[in-house]
Amino acid sequence: MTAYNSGNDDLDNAVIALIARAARKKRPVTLDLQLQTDLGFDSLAITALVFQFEELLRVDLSEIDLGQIGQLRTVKDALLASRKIIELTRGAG
Amino acid sequence: MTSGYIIDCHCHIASLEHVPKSFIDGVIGNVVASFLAQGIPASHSKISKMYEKKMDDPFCDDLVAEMADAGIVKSILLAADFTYALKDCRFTIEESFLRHWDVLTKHPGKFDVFGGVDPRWGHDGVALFERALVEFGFSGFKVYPPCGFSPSDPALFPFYELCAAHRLPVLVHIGPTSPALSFETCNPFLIDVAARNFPSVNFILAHAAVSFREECVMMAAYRPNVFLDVSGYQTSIRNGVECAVGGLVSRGVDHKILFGTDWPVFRTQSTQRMFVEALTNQGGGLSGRDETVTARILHGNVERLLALRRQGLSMSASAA
Repeated sequence: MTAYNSGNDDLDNAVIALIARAARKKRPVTLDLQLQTDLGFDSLAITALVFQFEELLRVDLSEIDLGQIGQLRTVKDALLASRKIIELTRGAG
Repeated sequence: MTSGYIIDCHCHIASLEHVPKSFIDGVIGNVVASFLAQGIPASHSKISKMYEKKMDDPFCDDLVAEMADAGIVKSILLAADFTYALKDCRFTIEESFLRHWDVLTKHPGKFDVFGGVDPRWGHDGVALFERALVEFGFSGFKVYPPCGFSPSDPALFPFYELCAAHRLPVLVHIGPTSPALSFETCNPFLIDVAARNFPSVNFILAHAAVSFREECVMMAAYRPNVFLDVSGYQTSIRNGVECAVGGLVSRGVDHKILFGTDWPVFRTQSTQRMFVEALTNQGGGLSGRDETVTARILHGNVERLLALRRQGLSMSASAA
């Protein structure tokens, strides 16, 4: 199992790879791309991404505030959110 | 962001009090099946938890904040009546109407409500709907045919007669929905008998950018009192909104198309502001259109429908 730290390049690369795999519109993933319009993430795809994040980060996101998920606009936002999740889980652990 | 203001003609209160558990379980079952087929680790209970979290705005405070951010000045709340077809709803339809009235009172000017009553409730249902119009200030009727009746069922005619008398529109759900309900009665052509029999009542076919698009356009093009709403267009974001909404707009029925989001269904996907931008920014179904066309769709068409009631009220007042 990989031990990710916030700000860890491995984490960033793993999250970007996950987004690239889950994107409905296939294209090279860069930080500025919009999840919804550029990569085609609809509500099902976003929900699927949450489950894949859980598996990747080995965390339980079932208590996550969905309002915050809806606020994720870009790949960079998703990256920052995943770092924050890692920080929170480390803090809780 | 678009110039001008926006009216969202298709929203619901985000609360599980108004939706039967069996309805939600059916929706979640489809999601789980899809995820498992893709090898995505998902369970019914986890998705159910996520669903509960997006349904946590019983007095529409979050919705009002999102509307302000998106330039939406008013939203129409639709109170669908599932309570005759499915027996596991927390609220009765009367309790649901009362909560919608609470929301109207709490946020004056922000909402209109279209109340729905299953026609099989008979005289009691008609009386409740009339009370909602007169006492609660509701502004239209909501029909949910997947509950097991055609929108042209004669049992609905007393409701349509009330709408004619009060000059109110009727919004009809179109297309398949939770597998807990029937899909037999979700075809837009089923509205034709009612639309012919009640020419003074305006019927809005919901989700026309998603389900039976071609049939919806035909109905709007040839039946003067049939309109379309685009709510649910967010599902087309994966293939391009231009195709779904732009495809409707290009068919010469832009004077019949109403903007709608179906809040809170797509709340996990994005914000109301981003949904508006997905339509109006480059590549969206409304980008590059004549400004008068965009204004009609974003607010003008629904305003015309809602104004009929105000005109009727002012005529009654001057006659008295």
